Amino acid sequence: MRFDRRRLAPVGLLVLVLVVSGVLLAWAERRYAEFLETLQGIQFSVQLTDFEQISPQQARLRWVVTVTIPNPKTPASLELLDWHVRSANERTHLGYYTTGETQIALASVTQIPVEALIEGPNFEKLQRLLEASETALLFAGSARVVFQLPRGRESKIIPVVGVFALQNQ
Amino acid sequence: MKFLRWLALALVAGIAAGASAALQSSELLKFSLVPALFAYALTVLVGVSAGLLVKGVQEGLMMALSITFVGAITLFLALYLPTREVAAAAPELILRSVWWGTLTIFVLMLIGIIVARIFSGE
Repeated sequence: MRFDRRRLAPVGLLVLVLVVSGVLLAWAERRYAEFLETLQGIQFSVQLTDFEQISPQQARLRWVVTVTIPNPKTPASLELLDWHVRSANERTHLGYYTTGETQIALASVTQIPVEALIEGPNFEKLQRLLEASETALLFAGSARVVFQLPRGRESKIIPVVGVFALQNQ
Repeated sequence: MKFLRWLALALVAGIAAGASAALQSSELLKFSLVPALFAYALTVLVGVSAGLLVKGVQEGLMMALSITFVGAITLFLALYLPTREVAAAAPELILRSVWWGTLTIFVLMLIGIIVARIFSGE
């Protein structure tokens, strides 16, 4: 093995490949780190905004799910898949709800209104809870967050949980 | 001196091969600017460069092994460093990519070195 003028071309090619692959890798790693930072930083909070009995056998609950992403660098959209409403001790199930396939583009703070109409046997269970002064309820759902990456998409299912108290109206 | 040249070539080529292999790993491919085929081509080019700088089958094979060794370390670091917390808890997540990447580097190195030796008339 020896280095002379004829060896300059392969050495040059090797250095060129090293620089190109190094720059491409650094770029990809930066995007990857930003993606992980965004994923780890996502926070959900659920707040009850409205509770009213709209007929003798129906009640409507409205919440705002607030999605917070500190310093978002990777474009992402969110789809709230489905959620359950239960008593806080999880003994009473008050129904399964969904918003349908609605994708919402995420900003640093995004508020998503959701609504559930509680009727029939679920309404009766809710009334029993209120009569027993068990007003703390659990909102437990899941959200699919879709990240737009340089070469494709990455989707993650993230649990969304919130506890709220009903004011008997 | 010959050993130092050998070491320098193995280090530079190994780092380039490891970086190219990392670009086509399942962890980083979606975040890369270039498709997997381009990353494979870069790895083959490393093999071609190394193949033009070595002489003989034994030297070529030894160089391919040295580059693969350095490439595997580079690939491991490239995948481990951005995900230290996750990778420390579940190292198997990146070890499969490192294993396949290392195998890819070795095969592509052999192909590159053989192509280079054929073109150089050996």
